[in-house]
Amino acid sequence: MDFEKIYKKYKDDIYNYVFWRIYSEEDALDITQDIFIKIYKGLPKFKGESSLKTWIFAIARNTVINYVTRRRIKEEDIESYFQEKSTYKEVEMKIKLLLAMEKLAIEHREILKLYYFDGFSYKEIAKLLGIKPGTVKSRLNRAKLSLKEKLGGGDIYGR
Amino acid sequence: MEDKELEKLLKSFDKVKAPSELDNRLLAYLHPKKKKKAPFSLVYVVGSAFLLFVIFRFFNGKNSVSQFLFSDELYAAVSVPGYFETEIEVSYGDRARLIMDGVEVQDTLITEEGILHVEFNTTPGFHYIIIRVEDMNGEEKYTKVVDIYSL
Repeated sequence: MDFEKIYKKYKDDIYNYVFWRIYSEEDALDITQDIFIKIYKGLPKFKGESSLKTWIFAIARNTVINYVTRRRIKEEDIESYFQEKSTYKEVEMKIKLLLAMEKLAIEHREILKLYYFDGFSYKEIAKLLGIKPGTVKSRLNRAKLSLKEKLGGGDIYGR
Repeated sequence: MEDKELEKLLKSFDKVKAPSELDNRLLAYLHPKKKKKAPFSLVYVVGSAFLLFVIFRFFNGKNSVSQFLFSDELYAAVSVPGYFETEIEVSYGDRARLIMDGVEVQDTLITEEGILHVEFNTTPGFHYIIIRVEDMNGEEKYTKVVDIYSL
């Protein structure tokens, strides 16, 4: 299996995965690099027991978990990322949403990000997390309900 | 908030693209240059009475690089009060951490193989410094504890 092809195919997906979990471009770069080194070293041992994508994202997931265990995500991390963008209402809402997501149970936060931010299918999420596709759907629904609760009443602009 | 609004908002996040620097780093890893004889240089300068500002420099002789390594072989000497120097051979993927007086002031992923040169100049007083290197799995690879008293 050609590492360089894998790298070209997945580099943006992995970086995107990492970034939306730690909210630091600089650290996302280091971690993504770390992940690809692990992929490169582990590739000869990959026996195809899962899909390549599942295997790659399992490495990414473990690496990010290891990072987040050592360095907790802070509200400032999220806000400082968006500060560079603009102060439009939509951006404010995004910040509000991300802050609410960070307050969710880990399994809810994870499934929301895998589905909406990473574009994984139910089947792919099921394989990555080692759960049934039906569980993915129900967990996703529960996660959205919980997210709505965290966001509180009113419309998305808090009116 | 209605379900549709939430759904729309969740889908409104753009995918973030990897910066081109990642290509350079991976390219350097896949096609490493010949091992360098000249040591890298890493200089920490610790200032202020309590803690700390750190100036961090790292050279490979030709280019300024953003990564480095550590390893088993340690040459260390405290030659004068307040001064510490060490040279360590490091390998790709290690993470070098520097903890001074209980505060982590540096956490760097090493992306080039070579010799790391570490040098400290401290402000007057007692300083407790830990240099710790972990491999890419987070396993401790090397730890050095240095007590420095500077006049």
